[in-house]
Amino acid sequence: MGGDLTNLEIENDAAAVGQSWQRSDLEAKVRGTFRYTADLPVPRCLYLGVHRASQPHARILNIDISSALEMPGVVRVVTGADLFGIYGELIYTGPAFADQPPIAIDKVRYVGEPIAVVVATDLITARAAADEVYVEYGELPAVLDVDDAISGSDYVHEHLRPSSVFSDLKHLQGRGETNVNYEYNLTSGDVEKAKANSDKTVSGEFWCPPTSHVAIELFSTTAWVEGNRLEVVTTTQTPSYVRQALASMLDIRLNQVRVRTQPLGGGFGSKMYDRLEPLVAAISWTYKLAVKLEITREETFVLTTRHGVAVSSQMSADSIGMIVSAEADVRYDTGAYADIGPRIASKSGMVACGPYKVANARVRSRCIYTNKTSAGPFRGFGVPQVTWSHESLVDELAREFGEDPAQFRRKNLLREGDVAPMGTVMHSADFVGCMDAVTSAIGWNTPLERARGPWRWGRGVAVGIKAVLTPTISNAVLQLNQDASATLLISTVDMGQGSDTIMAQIVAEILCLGPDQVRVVNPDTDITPYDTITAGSRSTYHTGNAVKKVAERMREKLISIAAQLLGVSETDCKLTNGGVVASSSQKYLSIDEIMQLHFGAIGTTLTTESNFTTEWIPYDKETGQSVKVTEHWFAGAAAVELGVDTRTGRIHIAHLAVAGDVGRAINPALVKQQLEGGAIMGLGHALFDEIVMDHGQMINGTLLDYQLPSVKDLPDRLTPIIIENPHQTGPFGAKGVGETAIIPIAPSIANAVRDAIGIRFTRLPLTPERLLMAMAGEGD
Amino acid sequence: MRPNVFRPQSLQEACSLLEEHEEALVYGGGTALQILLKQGILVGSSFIDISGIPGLAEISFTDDFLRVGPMVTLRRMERSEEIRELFSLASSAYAKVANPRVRNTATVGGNIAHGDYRLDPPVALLVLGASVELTSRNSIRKVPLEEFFVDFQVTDISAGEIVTAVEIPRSIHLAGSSFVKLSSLSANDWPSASAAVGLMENDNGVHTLRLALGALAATPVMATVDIRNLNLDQTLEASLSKAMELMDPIADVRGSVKYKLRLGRVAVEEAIRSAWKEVPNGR
Amino acid sequence: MQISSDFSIESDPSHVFDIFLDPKVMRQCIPGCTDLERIDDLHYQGGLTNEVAHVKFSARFAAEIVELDRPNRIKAVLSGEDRRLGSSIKVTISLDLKPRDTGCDVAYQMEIALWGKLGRLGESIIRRRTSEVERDFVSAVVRACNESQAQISVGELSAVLSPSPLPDEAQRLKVDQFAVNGNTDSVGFLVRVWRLVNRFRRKK
Repeated sequence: MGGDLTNLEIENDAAAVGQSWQRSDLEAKVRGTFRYTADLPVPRCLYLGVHRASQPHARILNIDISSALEMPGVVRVVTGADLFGIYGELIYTGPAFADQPPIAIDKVRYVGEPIAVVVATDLITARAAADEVYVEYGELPAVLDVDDAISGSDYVHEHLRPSSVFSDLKHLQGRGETNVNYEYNLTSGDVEKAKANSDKTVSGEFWCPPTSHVAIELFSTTAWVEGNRLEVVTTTQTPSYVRQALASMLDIRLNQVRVRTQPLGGGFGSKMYDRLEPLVAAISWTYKLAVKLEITREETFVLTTRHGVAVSSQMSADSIGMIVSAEADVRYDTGAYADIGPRIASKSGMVACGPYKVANARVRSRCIYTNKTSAGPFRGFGVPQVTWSHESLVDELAREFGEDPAQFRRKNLLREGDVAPMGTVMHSADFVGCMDAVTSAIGWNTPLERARGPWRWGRGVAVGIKAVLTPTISNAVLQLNQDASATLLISTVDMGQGSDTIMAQIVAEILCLGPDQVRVVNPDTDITPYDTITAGSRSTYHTGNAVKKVAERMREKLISIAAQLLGVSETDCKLTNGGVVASSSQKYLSIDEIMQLHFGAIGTTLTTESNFTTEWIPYDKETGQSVKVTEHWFAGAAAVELGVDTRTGRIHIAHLAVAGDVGRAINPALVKQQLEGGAIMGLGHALFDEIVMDHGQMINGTLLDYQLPSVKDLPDRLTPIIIENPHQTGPFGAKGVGETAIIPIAPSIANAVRDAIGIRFTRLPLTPERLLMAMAGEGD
Repeated sequence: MRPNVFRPQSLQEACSLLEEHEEALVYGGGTALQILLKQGILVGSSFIDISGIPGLAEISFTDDFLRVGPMVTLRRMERSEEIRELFSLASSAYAKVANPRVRNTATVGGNIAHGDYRLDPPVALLVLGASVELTSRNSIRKVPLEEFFVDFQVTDISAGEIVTAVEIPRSIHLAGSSFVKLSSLSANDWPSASAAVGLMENDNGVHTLRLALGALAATPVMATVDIRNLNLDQTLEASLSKAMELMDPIADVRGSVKYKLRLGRVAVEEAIRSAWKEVPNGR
Repeated sequence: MQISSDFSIESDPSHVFDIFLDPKVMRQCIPGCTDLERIDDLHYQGGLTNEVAHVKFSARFAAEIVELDRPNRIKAVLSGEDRRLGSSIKVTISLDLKPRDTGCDVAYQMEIALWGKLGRLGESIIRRRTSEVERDFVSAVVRACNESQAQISVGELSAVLSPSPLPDEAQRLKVDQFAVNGNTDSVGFLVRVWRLVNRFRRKK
């Protein structure tokens, strides 16, 4: 037993944090052996087929299910009225407003809303029978435009129904005759006065269309009843939320609902909150059936979208080019159901003036119902849409002064310790560092040959700011196994960002373990503890802190046991590779030995748990001000060099550099991949990615017509840059990076187009047609 | 509800099946059919899968023709060295279809039978003077490609007929040729305008320009331009004016009529300039 | 989708107006219309069926006249649902008639909404089909007006209105009889949208 340290390797060569560990799921994904949620073994199921609304706004006068029922293999057909009859008001769910029925009840509010659900013995029958449901509609005037929704007198909902989750929405209960479900206001200083005294003012009417997430993995939910419990296997980024939502809806205890998910094939915010789960769970629980709902690619387009956003904004600067005032009127088109839209409207509204020192600011940010697919979270949480406004304005303002856009920003950017317009101090958000890194990467100050044949070349830059979701909660449970392997229980969902890998790295760092020694258990609400959501770039910081804490507790526990066994004080002990050593005696016990001596058995486990919760000071309802509106900030920047083909209007991007201040990169390779992935997604939004609507119908709702960047659309060079300004309270100084890159991409490209051809575009996307027609003087 | 799938082992069997099941669709590579079926737009009840019929996936050369079987994949058309040498215009158009996964599956016959106005190969094949062989139980007929595309996604294929070959004549000699495909959204999308150009050479030199357009009218369209004694600029002028007559684009999410007309001109000009470069001494 | 276009007819406005309100004539003019009946002065109902290679569609529709200013202006809303294809249509049509020396100018506007499976199908297909149908419809109306002041020969009209796809004799025949001055993005009446399913059609 034990040994003399002098004979042992004491160097901790397993140092994990800061290393580019290979993704834990890499081999399985490359080999195609990886099991996604829909691949998990489940009991023999009946299948669901959904009949969807073909009207944007209509009363349901009659649903004829007779011919569907006659089809062989059809077990039953469920309508919203059936469920409402059983659950009453509880059937309405939603994270901010309890406004969303799993199946339309009295009326339909968007094209594609479920009206009836067929339960059948196989998938083909279920879908075919869904086509045999006949609905008689009583047409209602459809609210299709976000500004018409504000001024008009047709309403998507008779009255507002805030959920019990957010107490600050309580006062909206029952309010009627409005489509505005939430309004955030920010005021600081005196905008009118500052504007009157300013030297130059620029303004714009900006528009970002709705877009689709288009995760490669489709949605799938299976539910069945085991005794008095409901089992749910589903593609979700929010297992803890789903458990709560289902328990509330069905009026059962939390321990009667088990929600599981596997790592996702992409989420981007689409697989959050109430997607398929309430519908599948209600049918399973009500009729005590094992049922599975797998939806088609075409159906995913009507499940959720990014918010289309209109921004009317202004920015003014004094004679030396310092920004003195900024205003923005932001309208989020949230579609038929609020989802998390009200939160998006406030969290994005508070940064609508940009990452600048602006003493006088005024923002009104509204979340508005329309008769379209409900918009929800999307990578960036509404911030890319307001960044499109402020980064275009600041660029134009710089040009008004004849100043270099980067230099103009540098003068005005917030720095460490500065107070942002909503009253919160900046820390670990190096906007200047990010901007300087990207501009220098693309050779901002080197000469540019602007005209080459039919091509016109230009450069652009943009900076982004975003607050992390606050307050939120993460928990972790760690089991150290007798053989010195560890099992980490968290409810963070790995959806490609690599959280399973970096959480393992954090445990390994603290407990001096190697890459294969830490296993992260997939989210399972029976096993893994509560976690608010996997979204908003929050996991590295929040779950990371919980994981760091739980590993530290394990280290303390192990040292305490080892100290007793070695007969020395705890302070004399140190955890090193594979065991504990006493500094005074140089005596050493391996983890294996410590556990065996402690428990007197092999195969035993030692358990610790931890919690990490952030807090905020809610903003003032009138002024939007708070000294701590968020736990921390994200800072990012992008710079681009591109050419515009004056014959076709096509943009060719030669170099796109993107930087994010990540505090500290736990896994630099994964951080770079997040920066690249975000940049490419942003590039799509800038160039052609959009949902095209006609009378409330999405007319490009297939992958033939919905355009995403292909490998041929990538920039000739894409340079991800990690900026590290360690955060005081981040795990090892780290923060998240999932959204940082996407935020400044579209305006950086538009600013480069402005530089190349002298035209300012305020509507996305920058399609060749839009460019060509504008160059011909026939723009929209 | 589940469709019938027939897998005939001979052409005769396939033709008989097609006659018995008038509603049946011939199934080649499936790249177009599967999408429509998945979208719930095409509700096919019977399919005749011709992949098991021997001899339909052959590429052969006669003195007069290159003969391509309907089950030859687009990828083979793209990669065949013989085709690249003799009909580089065809190779370059087949190489631009979708992506390698689609090209490895989609077939020459299915591509033609689809009759879509945006497809790449028909545009090149029109310039090359290709024809389509259609076989039914009692007859075989050959239709020049120019007459094959009847209207928006309507071809000259009659009930009971199967595309059994695409033939490219060896008699048309192109001194220079080019295929240009311009997309308006993602670079890998269908074209919003495409143009194939061939500078046809005979004993007396290059006197005729053959021009075909894709995505710019309800069907792929084609014209010839007399360019005897014309220099490049004059050729461009004559060809563009001919192209404008052919263009009748359909507005959609990929662009308005106005935009497509502009893009069409760019495609034609680019294709002509590029083909012109291949002609030694500017002919 | 929106379309606006105009054409001229060698008949006086009140006669043209009657034609638009006559279900017997309109049934002949709307491609694919199987029946059309007047319920009251302002309401009509009817059916559209078509068999296209592989899909049989059958839709009931209701039409309501929402504006009537004889003989100057008429505005109607037609809505229908195809249950099998899970699609709804709504067409708002307005026609403005202006007398001209020997006849009248008809300016028409259509606002077409198409929801459900067909709506997401790909605009180009819809637009192309609708412009075909528009041509058929206009040519049929023009013919109906020109043919006779009172009697419409159903037989002759059937030839014009044959639901068979084009280009047919009738269409070519009509081109010189009227001038359609639509904008370049013009699209038309959409009943025969259903044909788009027929991508692999073969001649019968």
